[in-house]
Amino acid sequence: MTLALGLLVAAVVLGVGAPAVLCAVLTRVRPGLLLAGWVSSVVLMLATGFASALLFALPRGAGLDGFIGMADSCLNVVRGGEVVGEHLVRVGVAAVLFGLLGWTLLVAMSMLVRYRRWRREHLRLLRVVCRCEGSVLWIEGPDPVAYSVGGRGGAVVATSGVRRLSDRERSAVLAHEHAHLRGRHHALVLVADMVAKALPFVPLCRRAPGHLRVLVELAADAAAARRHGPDSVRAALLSVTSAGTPSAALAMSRDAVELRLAWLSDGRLGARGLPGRMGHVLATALALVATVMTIAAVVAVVAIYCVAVAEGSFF
Amino acid sequence: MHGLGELESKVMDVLWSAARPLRVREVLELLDTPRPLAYTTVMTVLDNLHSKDYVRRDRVGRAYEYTAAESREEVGARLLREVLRSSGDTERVLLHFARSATPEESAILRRVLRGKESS
Repeated sequence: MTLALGLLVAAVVLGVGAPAVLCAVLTRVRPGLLLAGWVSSVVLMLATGFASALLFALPRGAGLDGFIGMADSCLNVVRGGEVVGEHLVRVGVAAVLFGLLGWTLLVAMSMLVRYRRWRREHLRLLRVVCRCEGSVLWIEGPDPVAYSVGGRGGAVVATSGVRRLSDRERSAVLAHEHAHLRGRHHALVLVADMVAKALPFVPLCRRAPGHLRVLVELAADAAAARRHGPDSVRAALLSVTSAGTPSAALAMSRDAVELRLAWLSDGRLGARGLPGRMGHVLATALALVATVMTIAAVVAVVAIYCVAVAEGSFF
Repeated sequence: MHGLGELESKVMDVLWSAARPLRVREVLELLDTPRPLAYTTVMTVLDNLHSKDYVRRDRVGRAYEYTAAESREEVGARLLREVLRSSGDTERVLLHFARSATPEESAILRRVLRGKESS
């Protein structure tokens, strides 16, 4: 019970506290590391929630018998009989947690199915319509537009407008999109969208999509800047957004582009940080430390309370 | 894995590459598939494509002649328009180089920037 409670509190602390911490360090940590921080916080929150539900549902050492005993106790509420309060609380909390997790899984699966169907059809059409050169699908279009479709068999798509950019601008645009593919950014954004749709009342989930969408762009900009220099990425951003007809979507992005340009002009951008894999390990380790400490704190509080009660009864 | 969609796209490729209307028999001959296909298979695929408005057909004598309803470039342009319209759609995760940002995303970016300037 104590451990189950500790895990539950840890899940709540992650869900409510993690976004505050991640926002506080927004300006001091590399986007790649922050990205890993958001994702591992979400995963850890779901994992601790699940572990907690499991421990609440299964009384220690009693296994299935204990579970049946608890169910019996709950039925007694209706049919009259001996009711154990602890059993009611346990079953209630477990039911709520399993309900939330099941709902999340349901929402995630339905989004995944729809996304994969769209992706498959889109990629198939692209492969017929586009000219494939290396890892880039070239599509006809006067405006310079580049995007990427993630997942297995994913692709970078660019218009002939991108082909007409200068060499270094084109390289920067393509490097940016390839960084999205390499970093599995599409999957990360999809996971954020899933949890936000399923659990919008959890701050961590609600705020994940916005942050992740910004962070993947910054991480991809940083990757492109490391390879081709920040100036190339700046030039590419300017060319892509100023060329062609300013559609509603592009006009709206002007503001964001200004900010990305300003961010790129920061000198430290090109500096090498930790390699990507190390970043993930580090962020997960940090989130894990926070989780374990929360669990430990709850267990300690309960233990102290028990000792105090026991001493009270002795003296 | 050769689903119907896969075959449909190959048939479209044949129709686009040919400069003239094609009969089912001709499409069958031009199709490059690992195993030879049945005449009726190709006919069914063309029928499906017709109902999806990808191809036009005209009766010539007792058979139909098929042409692509839109050129390869036109379909490409339509695809691109659809992509630009839906960038930011939560069900179609695609990351667009100069994607539009929501006010929330702009605010987050602004915070990143403010920190850089102050430090």
